[in-house]
Amino acid sequence: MSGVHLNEETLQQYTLDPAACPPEAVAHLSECVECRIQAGVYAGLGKALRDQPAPEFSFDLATAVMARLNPPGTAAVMGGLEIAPPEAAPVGKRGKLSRLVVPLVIVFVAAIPAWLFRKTAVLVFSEMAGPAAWIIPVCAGVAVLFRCYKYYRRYQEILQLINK
Amino acid sequence: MNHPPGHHLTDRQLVEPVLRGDRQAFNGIIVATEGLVAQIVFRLIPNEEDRKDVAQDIYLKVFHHLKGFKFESKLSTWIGQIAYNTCLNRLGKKQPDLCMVPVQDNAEEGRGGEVFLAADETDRELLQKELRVLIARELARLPPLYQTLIGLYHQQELSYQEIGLITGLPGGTVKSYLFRARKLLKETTLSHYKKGML
Repeated sequence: MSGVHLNEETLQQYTLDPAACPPEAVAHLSECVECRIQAGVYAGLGKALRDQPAPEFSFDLATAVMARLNPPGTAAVMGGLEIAPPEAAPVGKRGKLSRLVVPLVIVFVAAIPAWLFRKTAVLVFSEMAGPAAWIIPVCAGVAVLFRCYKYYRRYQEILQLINK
Repeated sequence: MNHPPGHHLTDRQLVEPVLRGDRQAFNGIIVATEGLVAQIVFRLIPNEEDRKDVAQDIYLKVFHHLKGFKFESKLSTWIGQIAYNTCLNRLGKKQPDLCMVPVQDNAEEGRGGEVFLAADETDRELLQKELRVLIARELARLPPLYQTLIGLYHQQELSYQEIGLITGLPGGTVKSYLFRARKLLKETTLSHYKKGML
C-alpha cells in the first residue's frame, strides 16, 4: 500500500462506478481504512442525494397548461399550424349588425370631406398634366393600402397575444 | 389513443398524436416530463409564484414548438433544455449564479468521517435519516447551478452528456461542477458532525 491517500476525485469515481476506477486505486482501498471511510462518506452522500424527495409542484400543472391551451372559443397555434377550436362561437345579431354598420360609418366619414372639397379637387386635377393626375391618386391608394395592411398585422398580433 | 397505466410510451407515441391535432395527448407529455421540469424549476427559481408561471410557460413553449422537435435527442432532454432556458430568461441571466465557495483539499488534516463506519446497523439507519435531512439543508445552500446539476444527475439519473445538452455546458464542465458540488456537500456535512461531537 502506498502512503499517499486517494484523492477526492478518485474516491468519488469509486463510489459512482467502481468498475471505472483504476485497479491500483481499488487495491489501495482494500488495504487503507482511512480511504475506505472517505469512500463510505461519499457513498452515504450519494444515497442521501438519491433519497431526497423529488420536488413537486403544489398545483396540477397538466390541468393548468391544458386550460391555457384550450381557452373556450379560441384557436391555438402550434408550430405555425393553426388548430381550430372545437366549436366556432356563433355570431349574434349584434355582431352581424356591427359588421355592416362599421364600414358604412367609415365610408360616410370619408365622403364628407370629399363632398365638401369636391370643387377644389376637380380644379386641382383638371389643371394637372395627364400622368400627374394618375400618379397622385395611385400613390394615395398605395399609402392607404399599406396603412390598412399594418393595421391588419397589428390586429393579428393582438389576437395572438390574447390567445396565448 | 388509450394506453394501459404504467405503460411507458416512446417519444414518438407521445409527440405524434399532438402533431396530428390531438391536443389532449399533450397531457401525456406533461405527465411524462413534469418531474424533470420540476427539478430544474425548483433549483433555479426561488419564488413559488414565479415557479407556477415559469412551469406553465415552459409547456406552452413546448406545445408551440413541438413541430420543430426532430427526434434527434430524447424528448425529455429537449424539454429540459427549454425549461432551463426559460428559467434563465426569467432570471435575466445567461447562466445561473455560481458563487464559488472556496474548496480546500484538507487531505493533510484528519479527514473525518469515522462516524459513518463506527455506527452499528440501527445507528446507521438513524444516521442515514439524519444525513438526508442535513443534506437537504446543505443542498439548498449550494449555488443554484450546482443544485440543478445534482438534481439532474442523482435524482433524474441523467448522464453528463444529457445534462450538458440541457444546460449548454460541456460534459467535462458538468463533471467538474458535480465533483465540486459533492465535495462541498461532504465538507459541510462533516463539519456539522465535527461540531456536534465537540
